[in-house]
Amino acid sequence: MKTLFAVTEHYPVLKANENFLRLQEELTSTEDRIAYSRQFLNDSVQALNTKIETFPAVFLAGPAKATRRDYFHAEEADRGNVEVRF
Amino acid sequence: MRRLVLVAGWADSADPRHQLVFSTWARLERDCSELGNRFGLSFAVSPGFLTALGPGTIAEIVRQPTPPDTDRRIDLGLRIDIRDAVATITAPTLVVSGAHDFLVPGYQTRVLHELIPQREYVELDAGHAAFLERPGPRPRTRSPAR
Repeated sequence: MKTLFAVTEHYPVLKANENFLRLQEELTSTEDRIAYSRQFLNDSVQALNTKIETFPAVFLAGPAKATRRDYFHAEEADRGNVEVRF
Repeated sequence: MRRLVLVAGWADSADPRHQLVFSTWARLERDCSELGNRFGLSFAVSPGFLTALGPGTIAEIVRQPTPPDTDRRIDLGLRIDIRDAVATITAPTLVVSGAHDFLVPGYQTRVLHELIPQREYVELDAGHAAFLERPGPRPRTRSPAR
């Protein structure tokens, strides 16, 4: 997103275009939602992994087939700038 | 921290009954992990919840390996005194107790509740593992019985 915003600095007309401004907002909002969701998932994994190894939940984790889960980790290639084509 | 929920907690381990229960558990755990499991499970959930698990599941649970650091956790349970610390909690706090909690009975959790400045109290139809026995939306709160 930073790259996209930097490019618009050279195109004042585009920068002022209402549709483009809306697109900028939408892309920023999407990135924020992805970051929030990633954090929410990893927080939930941490809570689960801790809970199933401590009393009293540890007793019931086995019969309930509750096991440790892995944290979400995005590959470097998936963490790059979003490619936007017009 | 904006809000806090404390489930089946207590503020001080000096209570004689608490010492008896936890020291017995510690000794069983030290001597035989299966006996420790049997004792721990007996106090972990309410009688109704435990019975509903059925003999097969109960047998499976008591045969499980002892979770890591169980002895240290029980030992810590014998030495808790957080009365001064909980009095400094500024976040609105919901204190949850299980009506059938025989590990940390309601009278101990009510002491904890009374020490917290901004507090609500709720008693669930559950044992010590109230959050496992009664998952779901937050129940209505009420003042603790005297």
